[in-house]
Amino acid sequence: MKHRIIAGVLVGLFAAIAAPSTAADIDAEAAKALAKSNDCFKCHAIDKDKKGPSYKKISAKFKGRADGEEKAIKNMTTGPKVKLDDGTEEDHKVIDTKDAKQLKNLAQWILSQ
Amino acid sequence: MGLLRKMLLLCMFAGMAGTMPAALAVDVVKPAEKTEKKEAPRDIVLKGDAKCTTCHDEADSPELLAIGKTRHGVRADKRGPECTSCHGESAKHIAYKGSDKPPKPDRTFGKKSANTAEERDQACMSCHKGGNRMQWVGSQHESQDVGCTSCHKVHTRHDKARDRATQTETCFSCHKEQRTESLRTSHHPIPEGKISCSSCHNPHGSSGPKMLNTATVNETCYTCHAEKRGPFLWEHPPASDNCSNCHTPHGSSIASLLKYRQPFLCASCHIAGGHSTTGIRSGQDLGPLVTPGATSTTAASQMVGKACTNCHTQVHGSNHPSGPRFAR
Repeated sequence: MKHRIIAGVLVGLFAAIAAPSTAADIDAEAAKALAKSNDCFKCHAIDKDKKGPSYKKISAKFKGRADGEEKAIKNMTTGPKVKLDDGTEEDHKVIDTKDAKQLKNLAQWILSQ
Repeated sequence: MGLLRKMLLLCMFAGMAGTMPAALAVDVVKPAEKTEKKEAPRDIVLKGDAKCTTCHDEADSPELLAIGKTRHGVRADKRGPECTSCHGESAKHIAYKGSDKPPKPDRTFGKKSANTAEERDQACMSCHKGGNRMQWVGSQHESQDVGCTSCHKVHTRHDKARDRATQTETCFSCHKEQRTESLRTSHHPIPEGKISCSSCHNPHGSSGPKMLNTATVNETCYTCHAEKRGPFLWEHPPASDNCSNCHTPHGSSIASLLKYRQPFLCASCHIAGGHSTTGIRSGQDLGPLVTPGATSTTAASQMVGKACTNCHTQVHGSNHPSGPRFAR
């Protein structure tokens, strides 16, 4: 019985330590480099609206939503129609990578803003 | 009591009816307030740069904005350029909408530029065409398609080519032989940063040889080595003709930047005469230092292992009445 309690406490502790590691796992430099090489910053900035919304705004919209990361990746990889400030529409740029790990890192970085 | 209740209910309805339009109005106004009033893009660094910095701002390419730290970025100077002064109006680039790469601006300066060197240089030459650049057209660099931006960087505060301490890095990236020479034991103080390539050369073109700053080699050397200029009572013609008859300018393994060791250097002209140097290179005819029974030494053997300037110290010229041999 005693062992079970200790094991339970250890599992709990491990879970508590492991859970917040997702935020720390984001490689911000790699995400920025990928965004830069794909000209993302030509339309998006971190904290100001350009042709596209700021990353802070995107983050606020999707943060906490279970499908946030998935939607962000879908936006980057499928090139949907997006509405610009002047009311016109154009295709969103399709990112030049299919590496799921890179895409996930970039999406997480955007949502962490 | 019933009447009172009725009146109270009536008042409540009246109040609600009064506030209703206001509440509705709030609902109508709210979305309008929510949509942020987007300001027209403002210039960030240069006059009229908003059309470019809408995309190329600090998020996209902060290195471009560093032009604000340069003289080109001084907005108080009305002669200062706009982005389009150098890159062209680039209407297609600006108006492009799509997910692919937009067409290039009218004039670009990178390694992958589709513009010719002449087109690129025109951007600079439209302002910088006087002074030192008078001889640019037809100069060695210009005719070899080495343009302004091959050496100069415009969007940076520190242009390596314009800093004496770092200029050689720019020049030596092509002129590798000169880099090697400048690292030899006897060299002009180029690695020490006391002089740079442009101390002697004008990379923008010159009427002199080797793109020198002045019309002749000697005139260039005399700007520092004035004591060699003369005029001398006794001139050493090769010295007054061209310093590079004996010296190599960028560096040598022999002291005083000489082309060859003495006496071989002097022997390349002074073959016969006072101290015969015949056979000095091959070792023939040297003979012993003192010929047995002779009253004088063999002239040739005097030369071996010795430097002519041990005695002929004034080799560049002498003003001494007894100095025709440059010994005093």
